[in-house]
Amino acid sequence: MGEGVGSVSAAGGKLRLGSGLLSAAAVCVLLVVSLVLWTLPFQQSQLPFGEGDSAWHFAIGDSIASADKAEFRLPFYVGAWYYGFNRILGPFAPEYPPSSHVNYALMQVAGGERFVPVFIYRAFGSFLGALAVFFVISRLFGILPGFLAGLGLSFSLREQLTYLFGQQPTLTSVLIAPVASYAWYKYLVSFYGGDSGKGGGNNAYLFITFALLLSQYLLHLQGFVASAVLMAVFTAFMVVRFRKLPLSKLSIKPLIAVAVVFVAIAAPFAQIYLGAGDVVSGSGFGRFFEWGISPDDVQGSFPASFVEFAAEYPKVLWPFLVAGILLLLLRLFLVKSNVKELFLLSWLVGMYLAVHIDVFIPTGLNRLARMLVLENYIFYSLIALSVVWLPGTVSSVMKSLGVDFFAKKTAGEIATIAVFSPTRAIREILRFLPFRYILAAILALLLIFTSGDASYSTLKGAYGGIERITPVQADFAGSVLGKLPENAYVYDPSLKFVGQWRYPKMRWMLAISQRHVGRYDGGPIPGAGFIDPNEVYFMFDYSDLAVFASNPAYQQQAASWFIPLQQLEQQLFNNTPPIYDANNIRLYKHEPGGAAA
Amino acid sequence: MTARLSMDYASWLVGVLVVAVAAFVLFGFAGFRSVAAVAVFFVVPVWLLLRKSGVDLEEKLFFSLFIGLGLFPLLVWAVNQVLPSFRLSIAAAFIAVAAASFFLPVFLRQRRKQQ
Repeated sequence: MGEGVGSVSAAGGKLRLGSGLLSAAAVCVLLVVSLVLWTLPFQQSQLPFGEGDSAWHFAIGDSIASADKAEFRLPFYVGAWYYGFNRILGPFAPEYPPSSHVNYALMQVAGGERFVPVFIYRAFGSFLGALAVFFVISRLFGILPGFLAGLGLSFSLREQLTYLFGQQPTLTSVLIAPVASYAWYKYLVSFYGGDSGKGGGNNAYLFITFALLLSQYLLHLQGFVASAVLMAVFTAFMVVRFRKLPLSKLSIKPLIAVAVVFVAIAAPFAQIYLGAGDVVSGSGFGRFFEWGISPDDVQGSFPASFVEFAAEYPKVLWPFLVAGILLLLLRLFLVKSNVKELFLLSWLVGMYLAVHIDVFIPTGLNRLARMLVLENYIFYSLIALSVVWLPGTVSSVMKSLGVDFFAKKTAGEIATIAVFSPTRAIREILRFLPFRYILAAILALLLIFTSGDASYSTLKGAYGGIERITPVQADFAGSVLGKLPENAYVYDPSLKFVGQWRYPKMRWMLAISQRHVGRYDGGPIPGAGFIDPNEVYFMFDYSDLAVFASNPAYQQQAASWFIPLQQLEQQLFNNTPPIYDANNIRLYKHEPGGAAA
Repeated sequence: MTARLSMDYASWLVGVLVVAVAAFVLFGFAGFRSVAAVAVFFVVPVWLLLRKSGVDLEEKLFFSLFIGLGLFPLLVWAVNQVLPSFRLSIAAAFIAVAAASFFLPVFLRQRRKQQ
């Protein structure tokens, strides 16, 4: 265990609490705080929430559990969503390897319910970043900074927004990066430190590193890339530090063996990533000198607060961050065995390279923005480490200048001093104060009352009211749409008039009903060759507009949405009776050759 | 040493239980089962495989969790390509991992002896 991981004495030093107990207690506190906080969006209403992505991921996992079969190809109602997205594998191909969606299905099976277990998994799969960073920092620098870094990450707005929107596989994969890079750190340290005594590293860490990389690859490619970059930078630092490549006769064989196993497991899913239909272009070299990602580059995908520095790190934390960076740089020169500091520096440099990977490889900035959580991991680590490093470093520097500020005198000496100079005696007593713990307590309070408070408001208010699918809509999806034939294609024309805010609700109706529900903006019906013209339906949902209309302040707005929608309904189905008409929702079957808008 | 290890094991088990109870308070039995499922599906299978690896308890637990998140579901998925039922595949995958965790060290020991 690293420095600071001592033992707590109680009852006159008789009872010694081990670091294992302290660590378990810290993890327990972090998990309970995160669980209570991050599940706020579904503590009151257990109806599903999130953007279109969250409904998409849910729908695939849900289809596995309900069919009791995990097929490679997607069912019609999900596959029609991004039909033909994969250029190599063709229609109904998955967009991700199976792991993430199988996890959803595992949770449904074990949890015995459709929504709550999946949303608990979503929360876990998002706030585990706090646990990952706690683990790495506590192993290297002690439980106290590990806990503070974990606490900061429990309140991280950027991760919370990714979680709320439902970009689950990316976040779960990226949050493994600190742990994978730590396993690689342990391998390289054992290699250069000569654990085996024969010039090879500890193979257990080598296998674990590759297993973690594989886990990331199977969840989402972005996490794998993030780890690869962090590990490459740390390897380069270690090669320069020790002037030796991490290769030897003993290490080559296991390295090849794990690489072969990795390729054997990863290769069958490579076409999922290689065939992805994203059209992207690389950024100019100028972007390499811009910190982070501009709000303009992610407009439509994320709110500005997702990429803004001040939204993620309240200003009161900035001095801690600056102190953390400066102390890291100072320690790189002051500390003789500075491998741990090199490891943190590799996170910092690796994070910068990963967030600017679009300069080297064509990548969409809206996807790359999700890499910004790497910045949270290293910055919250440095913020936490600043309070632990500051007293020690100040003491070392002052000692080197001939001033031993932290040298403590005995009670007798202080009493003698007090007789002649009471102010000096107070100064002597001050030296007994545990500065590290005082600073830690201040930081913890700042985190709770700034980021923590903001997190509570964000999560408590997330997807309230008609931002989330309503009970009426969920009931309609389950009991009406769900009874349509499996290849039914239900058009929802409301988005054209009402706007994008209705999109996630439409997709959640798809997920709940297990029937395809897609937008209709006008044009031929059916709009694509894979749609059976005999199974086309139109849904006119006025239930949200009725809620708006009930509030005098929004009546005019509701009318401006209602009139064109009703006109379209009359144009398409003037003399046709609806097959469902209740709660301000009507459903029609469109006959082949019928009217089109 | 053994007493300290048992104490550490107990601490982690109690920790998981506390989180499961918190989930129970918030979401009832489904919450409790969900937290238990996270531990059983994502930690236990890889932990069984790592139990003789020589890394310490805390590393074993954390590595298991993060490896398990990606690899155990893949194993279930792979088994389900052979077996007709997803639920049956979960049980079969779990049994396969448990068996591997018991036979792998024996196999490796025998191989080392032969060498």
